[in-house]
Amino acid sequence: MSNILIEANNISKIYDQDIFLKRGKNIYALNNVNFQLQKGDFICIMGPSGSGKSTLLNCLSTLDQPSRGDIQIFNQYISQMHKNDLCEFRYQKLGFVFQNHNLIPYLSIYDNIAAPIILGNQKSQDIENRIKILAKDLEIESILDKFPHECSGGECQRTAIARALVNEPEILFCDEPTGNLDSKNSHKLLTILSHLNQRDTTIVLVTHDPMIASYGKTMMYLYDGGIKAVVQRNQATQREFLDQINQVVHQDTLLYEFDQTSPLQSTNPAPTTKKIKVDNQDKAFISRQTVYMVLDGFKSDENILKNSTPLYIHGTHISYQNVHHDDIEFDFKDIQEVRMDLTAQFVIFGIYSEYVFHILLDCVSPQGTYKLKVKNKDDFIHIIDYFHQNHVKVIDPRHIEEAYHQYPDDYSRQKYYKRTHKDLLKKK
Amino acid sequence: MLTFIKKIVIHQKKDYLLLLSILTLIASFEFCFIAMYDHLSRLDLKIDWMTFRAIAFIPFLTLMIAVVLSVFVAKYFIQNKKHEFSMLLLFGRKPKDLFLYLIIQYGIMSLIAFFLGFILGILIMKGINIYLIHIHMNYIFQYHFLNTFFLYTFFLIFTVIFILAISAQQFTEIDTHIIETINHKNMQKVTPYMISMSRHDQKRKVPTGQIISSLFTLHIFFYSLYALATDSLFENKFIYFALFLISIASIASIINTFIPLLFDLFHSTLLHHPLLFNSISSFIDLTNQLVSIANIHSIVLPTMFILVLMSGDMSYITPFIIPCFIMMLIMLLLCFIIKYSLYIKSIMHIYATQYALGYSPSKLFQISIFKNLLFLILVIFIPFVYIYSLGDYIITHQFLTSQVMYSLECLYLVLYTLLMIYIILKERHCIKEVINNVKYLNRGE
Repeated sequence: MSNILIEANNISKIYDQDIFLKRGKNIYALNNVNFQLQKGDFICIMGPSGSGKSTLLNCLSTLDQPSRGDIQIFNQYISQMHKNDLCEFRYQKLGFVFQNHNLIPYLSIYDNIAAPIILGNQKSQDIENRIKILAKDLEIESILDKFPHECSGGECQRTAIARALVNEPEILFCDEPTGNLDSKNSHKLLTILSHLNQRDTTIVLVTHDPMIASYGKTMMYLYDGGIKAVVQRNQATQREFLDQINQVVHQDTLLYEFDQTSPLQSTNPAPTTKKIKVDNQDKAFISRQTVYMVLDGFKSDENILKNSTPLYIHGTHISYQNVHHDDIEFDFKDIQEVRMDLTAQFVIFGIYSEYVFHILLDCVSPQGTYKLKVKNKDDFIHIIDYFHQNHVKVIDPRHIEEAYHQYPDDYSRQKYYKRTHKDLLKKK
Repeated sequence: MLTFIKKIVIHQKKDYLLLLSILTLIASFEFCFIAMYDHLSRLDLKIDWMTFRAIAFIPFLTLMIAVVLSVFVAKYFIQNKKHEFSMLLLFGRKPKDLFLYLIIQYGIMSLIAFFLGFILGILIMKGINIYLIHIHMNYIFQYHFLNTFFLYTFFLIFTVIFILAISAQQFTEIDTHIIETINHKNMQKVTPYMISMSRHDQKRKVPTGQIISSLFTLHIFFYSLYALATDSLFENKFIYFALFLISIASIASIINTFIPLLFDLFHSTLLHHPLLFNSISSFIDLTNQLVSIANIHSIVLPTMFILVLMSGDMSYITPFIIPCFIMMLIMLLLCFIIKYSLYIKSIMHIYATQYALGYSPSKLFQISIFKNLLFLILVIFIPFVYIYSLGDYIITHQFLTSQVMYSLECLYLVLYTLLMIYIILKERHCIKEVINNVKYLNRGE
């Protein structure tokens, strides 16, 4: 069983879909973000205003859909789930704490906490027991019969946490939960979150405050819709972790001016570039990374490249970044065989909707299998030729190579796939 | 300031036009009621004092509803401008300046509405006269033009002063809670119901007093309704009127206290039924926010028919009751729509929160429909039962013809069905908007 709870591949978000028509370019709230959340993680997302923190949180928590890319949550693609299924999913697996506590003003504190749990038709005695235990833990026992307007900000926020925890969610999403609290209440709340995390609740928290982020295990820094840095706490103390976070945050203003060419590297004391250890796919889950393959000497499509994770092929040397943002490098000579398959994705373009086919590429090496989803269009034929030139066995059950020869342009090839691979459409 | 007002008006042209049309409609109705009153005061009727007062009270009652509607419109106007006003205060304007700002805007609009309403009012009165001839009533409203105009002007000044007095209180509120207003953090501060049976501490107790008083209210309502609709008490008009007041009070009591009491009593049972739990609790919130108009509605409409009974003269009451009832219904509907548009804004973040907590869109629709059904039964249907019961008695004793009475009842049903359809569609649209937009969950996005 995999420990990966949420996996986002190359997600982008554009709020105003017509912005391209109005201004001639898209404005991304999120731009080509990869994200992976594992069981027991405590990830703090930081970044300046407008960097896309809340957008990322909303997309990961199924409240919003990315404009591009896909999100897998508990091994299910959320784009393929119905709205009602998403609600059921949120009810069962997710908890939310918002900055403005969002308590329902006409319900008592008890009823506010019970609001999600009553969907499960549990016995009222069980509901009461659960609420009372939580209320005791969060020190809100005495206000259960009050209404939100009769309580302080700290009490309301603790009520919101109790409401988020009442269903025993596996993942807790917090969007600036301390935004309305004083330092004492903030510390209290973060201690509660840390204890929850120690008891295996996975937490994703959005904050502006480095001090708050230092309670987490990982800090992810966003800038202009993209991930600029990831800092792991590892064995560091909270104080040391805070220093590391501060280093990143203080570079913020200079970062964008001077860092156009070289992205900020992780300040993790561990080596910044490490070879990924790939286990046998039968024993370990290996994330499939969506990439755009750039072959030396061939012209690449700049528009696709701009919004994709590039995979560079220099001679036989191949390099790309996986969903953890680890740099992966390997020699193509190690590859024993390449398996090619197709996947269909239902995409909505304004009022028009269509299935779009992408190539799935499994590069099998003695160490394991590098799983890729390829965004290349017409230029993929050069990649296939590259495989043949290097005498790599290509397993192509869907006759993709033949399709490339028969239909060199993407439009007619997509039509051909749609006619000949209906099994992929049915699966959706 | 004038340049600033000009820019604001240009940018919110649609809102201002809507407001102007409502104010014009109210003004024209006011003109009609004053004209009717003037007509009545000129008639040399050989009828008893009670009958005369009953007939005269019909336009007076509708005139009062026009004032209430004007107040709602002003409140709506200020509510929509709260953020703008608080920003002006923040920039250093004095509350006195804002008051001037309001007087200029609202005053100019009232003045335009006054003249347009005057013209429209004359046309409506002509229309009423043509209609009365058309239905062979042989009755024409003849009013003194200058006298009516004078009363109409006086009434406008009175309404504007009344509205400004109410607005002053709202300004003080904005000034005191400026930060909350700017940050849109105005949380509802009314306790929706008394928690006693559903308490979770040692203070839990059965609300015996409330239960007894609610049962007594129910008993009073049905008994008084029965008594009013039968012959037994009608001879003594004083007892009849007292009984009417009791029954009217019992309707208001049922709407305001009965459902919250049930919610408190059966709280633990309701926790098993998310649909009922959420519908009833949101219904309590809805009636709390619409309490003034709900009570006015359930009191005023039955009162009109009691006045018909009191008048006891079909030839005089019919020309008054038909236009007044129609205009009253239109004004009450407008009141509901205005109050409802404020209410719907306040529940958007609640739906957004429920959606985030795992309530599916279909469940949210069900909650909304169930809540509105409760609203329909208690606020719309109970007064109708009242009108219907009295209607039979009115027809039997020929206070109004069956044709007129049934037409008025049908009009009531049609207009309120349309209102309910509007409310349900509006809420459906609100839920759809909320589930497709995360901005209702997170501040300022």
